[in-house]
This record gives sequence, C-alpha cells and structure tokens, in this order.
Amino acid sequence: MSKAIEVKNLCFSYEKDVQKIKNISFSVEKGEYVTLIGHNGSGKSTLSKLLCYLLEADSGEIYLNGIKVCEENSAKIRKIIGIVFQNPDNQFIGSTVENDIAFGLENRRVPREEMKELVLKYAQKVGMEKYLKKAPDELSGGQKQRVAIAGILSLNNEIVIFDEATSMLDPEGVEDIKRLIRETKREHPDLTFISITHDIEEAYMSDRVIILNKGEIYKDGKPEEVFKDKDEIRKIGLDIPFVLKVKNALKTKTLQIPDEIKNIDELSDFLCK
Amino acid sequence: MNSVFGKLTPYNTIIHRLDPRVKIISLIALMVMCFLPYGNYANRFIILGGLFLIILFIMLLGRVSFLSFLKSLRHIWFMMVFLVIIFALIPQAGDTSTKHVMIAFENGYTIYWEGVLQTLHISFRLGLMLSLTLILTSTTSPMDLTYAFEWFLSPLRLIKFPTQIISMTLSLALRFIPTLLSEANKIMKAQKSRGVDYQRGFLGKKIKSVTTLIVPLLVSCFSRSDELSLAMNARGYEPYEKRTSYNILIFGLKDVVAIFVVLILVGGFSTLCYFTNNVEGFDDMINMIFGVATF
Repeated sequence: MSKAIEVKNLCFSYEKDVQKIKNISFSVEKGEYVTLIGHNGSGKSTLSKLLCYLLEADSGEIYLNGIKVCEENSAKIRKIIGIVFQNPDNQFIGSTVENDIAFGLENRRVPREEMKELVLKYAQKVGMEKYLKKAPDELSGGQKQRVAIAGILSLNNEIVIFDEATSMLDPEGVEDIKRLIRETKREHPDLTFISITHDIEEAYMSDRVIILNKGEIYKDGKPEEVFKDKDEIRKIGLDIPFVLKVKNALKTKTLQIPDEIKNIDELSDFLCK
Repeated sequence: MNSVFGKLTPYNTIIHRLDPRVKIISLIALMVMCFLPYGNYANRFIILGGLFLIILFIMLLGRVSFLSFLKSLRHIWFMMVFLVIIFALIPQAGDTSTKHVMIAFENGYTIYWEGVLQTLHISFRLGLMLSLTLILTSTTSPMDLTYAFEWFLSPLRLIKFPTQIISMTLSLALRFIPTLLSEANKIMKAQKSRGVDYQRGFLGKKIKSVTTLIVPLLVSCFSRSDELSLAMNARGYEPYEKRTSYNILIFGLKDVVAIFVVLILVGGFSTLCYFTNNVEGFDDMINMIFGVATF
C-alpha cells in the first residue's frame, strides 16, 4: 500500500518563539480512518490546515500521494485533499444548497450538465435532495454540515479531513454525521479519512488514533493500544472511551468482552445475551 | 429583511420566472415612463392613472400583495409632507398671474392649486416607482439579481475588469445578510441581559449603547470572513481563474414576449407624451372625453 500522507519533521509557529507544531513526523496509509484527538490548543486544527496548504510550514515536508505540499503544487493538492470545517455557517458559500454543493465543482470547471447530475447525486447521498433550493438560514446546523460534506464528497478527493465537523451540532446532528461517515467509509474503502475530534467514542471506532499534546505526537496506534494506559491518558486531560471503561471494569470481574465490540449498542447487545 | 422594498414571495408565477435581466430593463423603462411630462395636470393624472392600472395588473400577475404595497407607501409619507411644504405652503415667487388661487388669506398669503397638484403629482410618481420596485424585489431572488448584475457588467471584461469577483463578493454579501442579522439579534439580547438599554436615552447615550452592538458584530464579521476565505480556498477557489457556472440565465419565449409588451408600453406612453406637449387641442380632447377642468 502506498502512503496517502507523509509528514516529515514538520514545524510551525503562529508567533515567534511559540511553536505550535513541534517536529512532527507520521504517515498515513491509503484508505485508513485516522482520528486525531487532543486537548484544546494541542495543534490539531493547525495540523489539518498545514495538510491542506491553508498554512505554510516553517520547516519540514508534507507529501500527499507523493506530491509535495508547496506553492507550485497547490492546485494539485486541492484535488487530492478536502476539508470540512467546524462552523457550519462559515463554510456555506453558495446562496442555496445546490449552489453550495456546486461551488467546488464550478472551481474545477466541470461542465454544467455534469454538475447538475453530481449535485443531485451527492445531495441524495447526504439526504438533502429535498432541500436543494433552500437558503442556509432555513436549515439546521446539522443540515448545513451535511451540505458541506456533500460539497467535499462531490469533488471525489482521495483524502478528506473533518476538522471538528460535529462539535457545533446538537446530539442528533452529531449522530447523523457519524452515521454518514460510517456509510461513506463503507462505500469508499479507498478514501483516506482523518477526523479531528473531541469525541473519544468516535476515536475508539477508527482504525488508528493519534493523540496530540502541546504540538507533539503523544501517542499513535490502534485505539486499544492507545487507550490501554488510562492514567497516562488522563494525565493530559483526556478520558478513555465509555465502552472501554466498562470492558476494563468487567475484566476485573473475569468477564471477557471481545475486541470487536466498540460502541454502546453492540456492548449492550452482548451483555444482554 | 423586511425593508422598504419587500421580500421575495414564494410563488412561481410568470413574473417570477421571467429572466431577471428582462425584469431590470423593464423596470427602468417603466420608471422613465412615470417621469415623462404629460401636458397639463389633468392629463398627467389620467395617464399616470392608466399606468397605475397596468402596474396593478402586473402586480396581480406576480401575486404581489396590494397590502405590502400600501405598507411600503408608509415609508414615503415624510417625503410627501416635505413636498407639501415645498410646493404648496412656501409662497410662490415670480409671476403668479397664470396660477389658480385655491385659498387666499387676508394677509396676502395664498395657496395655489398648482402647488397642491404638483405635490400630488410627484407623490403619485413616487408611488408608481415604489410599486415597480416592489414587483421586482418580491418576484426576483437576490441571487438572480446578482447574476443579472454580472451580465450587465460583462462588457467591462473587455478592459480586464474582474466582473466575476464583484459578483462573487455581492453574492457572498447577500448570503450573509440573514446570518449577520440573526447574530446581531443574539448580541443585542446578550447585551440587554447585561443591562444595556437600546431604547431610551439621548443621542450620546444611544450611540454609546449601539457601540456595544457594533463592536462584537464587527469582530465576529472578521473572524467569519477569515474562516470563509479558508473554506473557499480549500475548495479550490481562485478569483482570477475561469470557473464554470451552475446557474445560468435562460432567455426564453416569455422573455421575448415581455420585452415586446414593454416596448409597446414605452411606445404608447412616449406617443402620449408627444401629443400632450406638441399637438394643439389634444389637451382639450382629453378634457372633453373625461370632462375635467384644465389648469
């Protein structure tokens, strides 16, 4: 498998002497579902912006599909990587749902007929086909976020970043978006997906978790390994997933729960058996 | 956005479906028709009345509510008061021998019919203009107006003027009006709950209380535009690059018909204007038909 993302000795600072990203190196395989977690100010969002070339690194290199992230390649990079931001309002560019989904396609000079088909297809995918003519102020935050996701998916990028895409939504909206993520992952196994989140439960469901702390990679690995030492995780202000807590607690009572079980529904099903 | 010029109504009438470019051109043409001089006052009122009937018919076609028209008239009443003062109440200078006295006071102060009629005439014209604008704004989405605007600017592309940037800016501004309004509302409530009084107080105090609204609004505006530009950038927006367009304006048969109708109207009213001003005896003819006195 080839590397979708390769980061080498990346450093970045907004102000002098205050390093936000301290010499980070990691790589992500094609098709991996990675969650990036960490405390506020740990540099998660900065890292995502560096990956999309919305910020320029002070030193170090980033390669996306082997293409170096730099000024000359910026147009190519936009075709490889897409990002969904936190605030649903501030990334809604078009005046209506269909216009917003079409915005990225317009930039790629997709012909109008093709664009119409794509807009409808991806609106259906995120369940917004009934709202095509609606203006953003008529939609809920979750709906706006779904439109943003349709806009990104329609571009058919190989790498998609969700930068805390669910953190400003109500619980229902969060569930909606998470379901959408799972479906998209199932339909496009090749899609490299990076989710920046505060949601530990989501992290537990991903292929791989990277914990950032103060601009450095604190832990990196499979969720079970990363969350194994709960004291260490708590030390940097994070918690371990609820399901894992239950598992650990039951383990002391000699009840073994299989590793595949990762969300609350599955857990309760298993326990009720 | 309930302002003077109304709000887009959610219907799908023929007027709604017309090409916005045609609508804008028609609006301008009909406005000019409102402002042509049609001879003496009797003629003016009769002809403008005819124009008003036509506009009412268009309003009916576009399902523009008459009530909203009356409501929008509210906004020009102060102008009418102003006009009354200017034209009717201020003593007329110069030759007054040709004017008709309406009321003559004992101290020599007179109000002339001409002054009163002039006021009514101008108000009538303003009302007509307002109704035309109301038709445009309540049957055309702001976005369509932006596209039409971009099209009207397109000749400027020949001199390398970035029209697409202007229209993108405009459409973003329009897109964020409701967002910022609701934000302003929130900030206002938040400040009120902290004891700021927006209603009472004299000018100085009011200005001070409004700053508590403006400053946070501006700050959030800047952070929003920052994030927006990032989002646009991430989705590959390059202002000077060519882009395809999802929305296109389609000039159809109904638009041809509309232009034709407007041309007939313009021709008709221009002829009327010509006759009333240049043909002897035309005034008297109209007066005979309608049986009104001439001033």
